[in-house]
Amino acid sequence: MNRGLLLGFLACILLIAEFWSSRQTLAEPAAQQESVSQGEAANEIGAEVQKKVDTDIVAFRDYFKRRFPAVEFAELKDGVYVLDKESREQWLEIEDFPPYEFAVDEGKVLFETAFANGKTYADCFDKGGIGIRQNFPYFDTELGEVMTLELAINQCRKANGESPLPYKSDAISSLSAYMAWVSRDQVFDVKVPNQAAFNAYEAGKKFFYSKRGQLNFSCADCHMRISGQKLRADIIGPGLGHPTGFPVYRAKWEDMGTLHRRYEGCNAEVRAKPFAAQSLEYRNLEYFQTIMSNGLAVNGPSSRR
Amino acid sequence: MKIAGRLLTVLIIAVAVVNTGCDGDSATSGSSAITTAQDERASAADAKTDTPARIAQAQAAYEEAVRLGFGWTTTPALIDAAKRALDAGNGSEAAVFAQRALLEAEAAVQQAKYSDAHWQAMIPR
Repeated sequence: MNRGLLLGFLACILLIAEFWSSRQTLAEPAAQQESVSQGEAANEIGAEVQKKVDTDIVAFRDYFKRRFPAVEFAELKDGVYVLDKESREQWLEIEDFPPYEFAVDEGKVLFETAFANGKTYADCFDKGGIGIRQNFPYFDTELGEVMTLELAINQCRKANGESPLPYKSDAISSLSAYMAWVSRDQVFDVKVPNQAAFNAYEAGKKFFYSKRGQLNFSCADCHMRISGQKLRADIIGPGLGHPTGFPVYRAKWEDMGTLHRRYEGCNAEVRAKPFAAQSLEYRNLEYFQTIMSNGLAVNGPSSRR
Repeated sequence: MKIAGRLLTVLIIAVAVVNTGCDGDSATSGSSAITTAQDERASAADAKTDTPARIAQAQAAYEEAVRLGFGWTTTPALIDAAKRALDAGNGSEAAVFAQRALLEAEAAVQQAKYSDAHWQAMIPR
């Protein structure tokens, strides 16, 4: 009797084990299929949002093509100096002995100097950090936020046990200048890979077109509507091609500065409370602006009045 | 010569009409400026009795504008000026600054809400 019970118990265990095994075998393809369909859905969303972005890029380019029909698209990387002959001549003369040269040299030294742990910036970036400026900013899918070059530089420092650099410091401008210098002529091609990236892009776009400050000006008011015209003594540069030359040596600053420093200045000039450099707002704005300038070559660092 | 004379007459009349129009405009804007100043004084007088509350209202509205990402750099200076005038015992001046600060901060909030609703209409085509 006891032996019969034991055999019956073993048979039950075998049956349960077989059932469980067959269930697992069935579940695996289903899970794989679900994963594939999720991947396909993500690809579809990616393609859909990229299509919307491409439509914006075409409209943005067309606007400037109509506004400055004599200017070739590729030349727009030179900003305001492509619109006014005299300003261009002065700028080209400045470029003979560029005021950002010292920053590039300093940036190279900083870039190659090892951290306390023996690693360098080259260990943090693709291709050892050489020839990659055109890939910034990009949407970091893990972080769920836009990653700019300056933010990546500080993340690299933190990952290697160093304190982050202040965003208006000479050191970060110099590092950024060197990394732009070794990426010259590479072409910007910033993508919007998914819905979260599209949300960041849309936030940047909304910022660009929203009027703010006591003067009630948007970025687009100056850099689209009145681009090429004078605002006091200065000609306003076109919004297309804005980010390609940064960081810049600006005569007004008598110093190097990043694109976010310029954003702060622009906001303050229309009497709007500026955001901090590398704030989410300015990173999204840089993302939008750079995407609009896709297809243009890196020509940073540069000089501006 | 006659034609030239007539043309000259027409030109003089046209210039006179344009100038009258401009005078009319400047007169209108002048009277508008006076009205605004009177309104400001009147509302400042009304606000005089409740200036600390108005300063607090302005501060709250400014903070709301900043939260929305649309603060104006000029508003904190007005709030500070209102507080300083109040501390110095200059109630009417404090009331004017407080009123201006409140109007500015409310305008900034309005700007934020308007931009949020209509930013796509501001895209140049």
